Amino acid sequence: MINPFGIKESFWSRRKAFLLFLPAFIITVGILVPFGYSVVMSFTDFNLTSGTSNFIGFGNYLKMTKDSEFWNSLKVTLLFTLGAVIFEVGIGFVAAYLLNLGLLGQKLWRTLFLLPVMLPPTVAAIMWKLMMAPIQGVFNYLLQLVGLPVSEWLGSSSTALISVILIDAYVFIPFVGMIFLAGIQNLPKEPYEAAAVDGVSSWFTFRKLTIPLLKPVILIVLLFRIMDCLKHFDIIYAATKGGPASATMTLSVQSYYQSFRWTNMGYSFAHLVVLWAIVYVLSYLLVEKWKKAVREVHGG
Amino acid sequence: MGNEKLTLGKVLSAIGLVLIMSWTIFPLYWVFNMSIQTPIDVISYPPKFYYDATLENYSVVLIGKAWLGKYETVQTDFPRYYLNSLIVCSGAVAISMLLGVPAAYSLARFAFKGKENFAFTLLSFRFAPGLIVIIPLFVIFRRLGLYGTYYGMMLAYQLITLPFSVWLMRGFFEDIPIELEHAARIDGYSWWGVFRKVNLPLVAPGIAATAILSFIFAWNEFLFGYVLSSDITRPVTPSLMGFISYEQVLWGQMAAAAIITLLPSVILAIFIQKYLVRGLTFGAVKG
Repeated sequence: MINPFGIKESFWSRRKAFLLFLPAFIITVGILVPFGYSVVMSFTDFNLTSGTSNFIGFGNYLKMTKDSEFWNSLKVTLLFTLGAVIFEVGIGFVAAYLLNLGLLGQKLWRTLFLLPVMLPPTVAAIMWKLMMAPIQGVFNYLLQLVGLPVSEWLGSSSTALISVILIDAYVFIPFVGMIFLAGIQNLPKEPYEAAAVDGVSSWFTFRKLTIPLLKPVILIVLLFRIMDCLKHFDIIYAATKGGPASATMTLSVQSYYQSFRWTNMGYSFAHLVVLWAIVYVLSYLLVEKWKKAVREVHGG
Repeated sequence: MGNEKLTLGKVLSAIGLVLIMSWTIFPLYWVFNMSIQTPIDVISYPPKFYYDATLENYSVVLIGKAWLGKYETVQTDFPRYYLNSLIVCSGAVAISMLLGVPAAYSLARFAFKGKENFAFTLLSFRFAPGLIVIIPLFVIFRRLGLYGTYYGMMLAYQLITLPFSVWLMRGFFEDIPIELEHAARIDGYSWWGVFRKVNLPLVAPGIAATAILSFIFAWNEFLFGYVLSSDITRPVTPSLMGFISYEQVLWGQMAAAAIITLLPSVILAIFIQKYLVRGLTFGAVKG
């Protein structure tokens, strides 16, 4: 493809390329080893307490199809992902739009807006846990102040999932908003000037111009948010540990418990392999769609 | 702006902006608020907006029970956890920059077999569920004697920082016009000379941004530290879980610990604001 050093040096440059690349390659293979270990061990009854590790074929996977806890955690994972992604993309887009308007104090707003994105997720979870405390928490106080009914937040199985989605949204709305903002600001000017000359309505411009032009950015946001939500662990574990009554028990948290509470490593790996397969297929499809959208927008 | 008409749309936009900003700022303000209240004030109802501020919580968290003993506190060794995080994150960033920068240059400038496959494999690590690598590492590290050691944890943490560094740095190298390198070659610079005199100065801001972002990601990381550390090498983010079980009594201290933990990430993020979008999307969106 690109060879900066001419034909004479092609042998040396190839060797250089290889030498520069090798250390990182070794490390990458190093990551694949534990990963492969998980896949192989998911076909065994490996248990850390008893020390057994016998090959049982698809035994773990068959067991999962009959395990109501597995189905529950799959359902929780999908609900969490759906809820969080819709909420974050919706509000994130509105935020990007508002920050792009050029209202007073713009630069300061933007800096303040991006702060939560860099919070350690566990810290965000702890912060919100303190505010969501049912009796002394500030949220219920504020709700009472304006005459709304108070909530159990993380403490009740009916509201826990929505509460962790809110915490996740706190951290990731800025993430989504910042990416949309960058996308909006990188939009080409000419098509909009042409549209203004033709006198088309702003809704039509938005639907026929902005959305198609932003498609690569929208896909990147979806890629990162969907994948992160599917494998989510930190915030949920720090906020609820999967409870109450498995209401927030995602696949990641479930497999953590299978490993470290029940020491059923083999069974836990089977959960993770299923989760990984979902994530891998989806991310592959989204990356392909993204590449296609980039080609469409930028030509070539 | 002042002489423009005040339209309904503008008023609504301003209200929307205020709402979104309060959603972002209020939690940070409130937790800081809690962190400087006395144990009595912090659990009072209704919550107090005006009170006598105290740094007691910070000193208790930072120094520990054995020294102060005035209020009940968790037996944590917060300064040590902080230092652990510093050691492990710096180590991981150093490893991933040393290995990642040459690899990124190689990916950006040379053609070789399997290059794009390698790059996609690195990207797919970003989306893989962490536990699928962490649990085997836990088993393997225990066998190799790496469990709970700084070296083991640096190796584990750079599994996050290395793929990130390679992807981001590749983009920064690709931004440099190839013609600059050609010109320097014609001027008689060696390959190494070109890299040192042309590329490095141009990507220096990119390298700094990549290193800082890697550091933040490592600092924020929870699972690797939670599973692979011992009591002595525990990093600060997982150590916060120790406060959670005591939440009924120790709100002020929890808040103080949370504030101390988030400071490095948030402050560093402000410095590299310009590169944040690019960093968070692995270079896919150039902000």
